[in-house]
Amino acid sequence: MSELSELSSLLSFLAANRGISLRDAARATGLRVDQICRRLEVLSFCGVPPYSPHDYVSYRLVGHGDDAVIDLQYAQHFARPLNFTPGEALALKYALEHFAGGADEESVGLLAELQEMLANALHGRARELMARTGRGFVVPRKAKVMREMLQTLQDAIDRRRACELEYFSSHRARLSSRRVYPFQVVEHDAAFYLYGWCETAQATRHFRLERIREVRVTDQRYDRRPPPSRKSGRMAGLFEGKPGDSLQVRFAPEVAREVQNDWASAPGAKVQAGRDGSLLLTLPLYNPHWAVGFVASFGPFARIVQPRWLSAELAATVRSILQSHKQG
Amino acid sequence: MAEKLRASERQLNLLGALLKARDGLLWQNIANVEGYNDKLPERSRQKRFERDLHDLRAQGLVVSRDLEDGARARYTLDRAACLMPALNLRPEQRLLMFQVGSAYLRDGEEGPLSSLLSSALLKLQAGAGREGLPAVVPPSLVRRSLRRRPAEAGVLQEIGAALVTRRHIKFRYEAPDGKTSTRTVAPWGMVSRRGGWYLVARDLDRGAPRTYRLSRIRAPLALAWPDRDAPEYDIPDGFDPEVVFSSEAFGAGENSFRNVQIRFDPQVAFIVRNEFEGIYRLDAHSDGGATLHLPQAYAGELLRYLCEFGGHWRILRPAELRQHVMAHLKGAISGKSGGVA
Repeated sequence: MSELSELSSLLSFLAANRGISLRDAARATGLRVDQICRRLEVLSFCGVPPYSPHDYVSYRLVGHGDDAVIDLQYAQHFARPLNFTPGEALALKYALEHFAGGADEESVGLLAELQEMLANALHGRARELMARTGRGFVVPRKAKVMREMLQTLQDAIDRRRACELEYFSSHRARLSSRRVYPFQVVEHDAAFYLYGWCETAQATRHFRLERIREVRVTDQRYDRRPPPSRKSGRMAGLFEGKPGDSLQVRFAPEVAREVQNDWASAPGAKVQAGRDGSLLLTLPLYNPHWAVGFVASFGPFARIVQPRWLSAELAATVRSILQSHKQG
Repeated sequence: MAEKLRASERQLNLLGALLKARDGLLWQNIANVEGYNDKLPERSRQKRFERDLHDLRAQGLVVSRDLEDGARARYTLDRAACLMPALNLRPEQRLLMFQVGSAYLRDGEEGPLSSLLSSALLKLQAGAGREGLPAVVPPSLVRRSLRRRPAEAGVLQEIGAALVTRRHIKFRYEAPDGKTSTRTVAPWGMVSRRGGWYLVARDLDRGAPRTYRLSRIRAPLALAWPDRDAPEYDIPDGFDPEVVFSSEAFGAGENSFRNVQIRFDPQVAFIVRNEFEGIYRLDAHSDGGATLHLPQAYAGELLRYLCEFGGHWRILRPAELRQHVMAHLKGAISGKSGGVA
């Protein structure tokens, strides 16, 4: 995006929201406070002839730190925002569509209204694109029950209410009940996770939404805040902690290329090509159940090199699958 | 000093002057705007102005040039075509718009839409005036992301940006047989299913839409014509990438198995229900288990999902898929795995 568009958008936003705090402006814009301050500096060099003091955009910060209020002056020419650029129209259209894929019915209706309202409000090419472009980023539909669960959890986070979850842990391969203080729902690698403080584990955890059998929102209000150390937005939590071991798998030449494509850039992964075309993949082992499923899915084309005890787990799992098919 | 102004500051000055002058500006007026009022020869400054005007127009701004007295050019910004009208959003619409913004923009994760989306949302909030934001700006409740696999992140970023700005790209592509070739394409859309993203694009050399798996795209990936600065192609109205590439959960195509039925036991049936109820047929059983019906599925993609559930599932049909999967799994523990020493 051009810097001009960035600056003029911020100028219009601040002109329309005079008196907004740096903190709220950062929340609303997705920019960091220091980025907003730098852009305000740039904007204060802009003006129109005859360049008397009142012809330059000016600002002052009233108060301290992130709570300081932005008092913007002499930016009246920019008070009304510019029409969308074609790129902005498409980015918003695609984002609204993608967001709707995980939204409840009411929000989906509101999003459709917004899109129509925008198509009517825009001009020129931006209007055409908003009204006539097909889907851009197509993702599998989320089931209604999942979208409703997402909304329930959002409400609980908003009202800071503890939740009781009945959860199927893939680590333990069984259902258990947990009391959780929910902080955020995070989409990662096509799945949604609830990030929160688990009273049972006495630590933060990520709970995959598909594996939640039931959510009960309690009346208990909580004040616990997410720990500052977590890099929110990245799913560091999924790969956090101490890996129990190192998983090493050798893949046959038939699947080596696919494994290389999919895993070479995974966090903590190492790949080593063999002379015979095979591939040795090494990963930190956080979850033996996942590892067994992963290796089993390659059938005869993968073999666990280490840890050796996992080979026994794999054999037991495969035998249980074969057994369940015999019974059928 | 004026000639050292950054282009964006100079262009912002020009934009401000055009916005202020409702009757338009002559070159004599523009020559007083900071950024065009330095001591360089007039022709150099005029060329600078013409370049900036081109940039403003590339942003979608409509600036007309009319000749007065057959000689003097007057430049007028078409306010009706360039400014957003006031948007009267209801409180729930405001809140939702804010949630969309915070879902994609917060916490510094860059995505292919981030910067353009940020700018669009700022304009919308500005257009809605002081009421554009919720009364209390709430913390971010949901983080959404287009990322699917770590290995794809860089390529997704670049292709997504090209799709949104309608720019051709070129890259080395590795086919399933390992052969690589250079492709120049117009991105038309992206489809994601289990296993990652696929690019649906018009291949310029083949003159037809093709599908490319992102994890097979090799560096360097770049704009095909980086010197151009405007959209380069149109996508047919209403084009749906799913027409070219299916987003069926476990794939669809010539070699896929048809009319697949899998029974899940009560311990894990709810997980399948959470994911697929209302999307595929699911028959509930009195013991709490469920049978999932899939119109099509590739064995490999399906097995990767099923193996997450240990021994809690059973393929009911088709018999060929069941036999295929059983043979595959037996191979996993046979001790003489295919090709793996």
